[in-house]
Amino acid sequence: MGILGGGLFWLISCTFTKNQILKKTYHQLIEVSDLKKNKIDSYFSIIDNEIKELSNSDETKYLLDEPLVSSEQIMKINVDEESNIIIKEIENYIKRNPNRNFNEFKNDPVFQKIITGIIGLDGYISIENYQQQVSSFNEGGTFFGKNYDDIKNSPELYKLIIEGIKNNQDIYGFYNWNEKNKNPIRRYVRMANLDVKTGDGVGLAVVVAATVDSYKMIKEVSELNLKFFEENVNKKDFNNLFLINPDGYVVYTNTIKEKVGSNLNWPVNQNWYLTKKFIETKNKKEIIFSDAYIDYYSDLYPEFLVLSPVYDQNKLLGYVALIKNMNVVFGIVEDKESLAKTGESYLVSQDQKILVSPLRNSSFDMFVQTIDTDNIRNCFSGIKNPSINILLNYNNERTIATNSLITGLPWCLATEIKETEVLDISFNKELFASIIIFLLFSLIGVLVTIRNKIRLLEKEKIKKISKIENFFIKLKIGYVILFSLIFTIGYFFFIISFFNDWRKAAFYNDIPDLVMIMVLINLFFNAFKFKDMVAKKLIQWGSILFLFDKLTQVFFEEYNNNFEPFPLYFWLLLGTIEFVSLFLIFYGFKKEMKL
Amino acid sequence: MTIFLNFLTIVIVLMSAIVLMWLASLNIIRSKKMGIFLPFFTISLSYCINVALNLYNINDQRAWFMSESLLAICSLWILIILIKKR
Repeated sequence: MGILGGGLFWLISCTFTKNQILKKTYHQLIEVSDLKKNKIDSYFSIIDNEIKELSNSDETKYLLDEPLVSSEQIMKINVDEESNIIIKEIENYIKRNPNRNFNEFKNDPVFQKIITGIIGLDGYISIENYQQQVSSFNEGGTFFGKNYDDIKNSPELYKLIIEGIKNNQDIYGFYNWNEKNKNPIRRYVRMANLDVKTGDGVGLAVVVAATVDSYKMIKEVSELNLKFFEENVNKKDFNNLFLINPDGYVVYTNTIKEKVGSNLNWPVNQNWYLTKKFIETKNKKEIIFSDAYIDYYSDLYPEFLVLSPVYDQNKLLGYVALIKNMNVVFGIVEDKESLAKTGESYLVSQDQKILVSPLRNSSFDMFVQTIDTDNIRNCFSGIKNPSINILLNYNNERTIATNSLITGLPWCLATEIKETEVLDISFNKELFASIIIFLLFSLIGVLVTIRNKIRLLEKEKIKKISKIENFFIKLKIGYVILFSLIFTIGYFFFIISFFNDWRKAAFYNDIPDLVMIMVLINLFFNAFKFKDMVAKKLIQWGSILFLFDKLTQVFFEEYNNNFEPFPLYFWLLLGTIEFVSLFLIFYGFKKEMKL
Repeated sequence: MTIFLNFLTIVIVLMSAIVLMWLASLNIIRSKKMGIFLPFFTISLSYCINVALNLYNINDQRAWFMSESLLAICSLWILIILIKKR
């Protein structure tokens, strides 16, 4: 009766509730996804307010409205910083090819590419044979790509070079470059001797030269202004802040000082992410949020950029650019709460590249790995199924999936949970509910049977000892103890197999229950040996009921330990069964003891 | 609902424990054999402790372990009495 009732309930509930559970999970998943999307949206609206505040501030307007002048000091910082990088690059390349001679280097396209780079607007790099330079110089050979006569046009440069060669020192200095029929141009030169020599023992020097006029900056930035920007950067956690004038000159930046004075429109800055977004803002004339990006190979974490034009009474003064890290977005996307065991969220850009990795799988590579699943495609096409969405994930596993498009950005937030996990939980719940129904039916059945049997026994007073009963009467206690021990241990591992690792079992609760199970099995078999039939039946039914109660309790305690507290009415039911069985044992005991 | 169910559980357990304790005490007095019915008396006492723990919302695992173990020990005691009787 119990098996029939429990089994029927299980079958019906499994069939009818599966879809309901999947739908419920899908709606919960949509809620989680929308919550995360809203958090990201509100984070970007905070940034939007921050940049508006900055672009409307008097300090920004004041700095951008200031006239720009050429500065030898700023230019020197710029050229020295950039030439340091190039010098190191050349040295490393020569070290990597120690057997090559000077002429081979000159004809190497990779080497030529390094030394023919541009500094600033029109500055150039040159590399020369340092020892032979004097002779070629005297003989009218080339130098800096110019001939001897040209060098002679600039006595300052000539003097600098001769002194440098004589003293075997690096050269730094400004000079006026004179060309026929043209005004003299103020220029800066740096000539650095390299520490390494080529395979044929030739010492090399790197020469860098650039025009002063190309670099422009504000004459003087007040301390008050500087403090305002520094405080803004620190308080609002900006990675960087740029002020750019309408022509593209970087007027202020808080970290990359060498970029101040340079122009974003110069060919040398064309590949810079800031330049690309600057041009976009210039054309759109509105605030733009960039995609996440990594500027240099050495950068570990992505950033994003926000650019806004600055106006003063409809006059364009320049642009403000904020660079922020992705920490907050990472935190929101990777939040595991309400995502169960296999649930995960990840952020994907429009080209399907991962911006924030799936939290369950750390092997995903940001900006490199693509995720091309139906869920991502649906997201960018704006498809969202209102009832349920079961799709294959990046591992080809069936998942309940939803997505949210981030407002104003080409980012998709995908949230998925494995279908098997959802159904597993429901399976467990239904299994337990079936056990309870089974117990309830069994209890009624047992009570009815006990009443009938006792009546029959008392009425007929007949001793019926079957072959099986005879076997149990003769059974030794030792065998019963061994059987109960094996059964208890086996049962424990059987129950644990539904849950986690056995080492994580609720031992504090399980151990007394398992001991009790052992004792009750022994009590049941021992009752076969009683002479009083009523006492025998009372103790046997009492121990069977108690056994059911304890077997179920082991289930429940493991469920409590792994999932959530089991509903209280089940415990109420078990408590009642426990007392019914205790009273049966008590009366059986009393009868057997003839008291 | 939860409070009601919790209350109902406590009442049922407490009432049953008291009835069992009363029956055990009555039989101890009548039969004048204390050792035989003492396990039942101890079991009812253990249930009363359980109720007290529940009322004061004490979820200490060790306390539950002790009361549950007491139940197991008493059952073993009953079994030993029954085996010895034969």
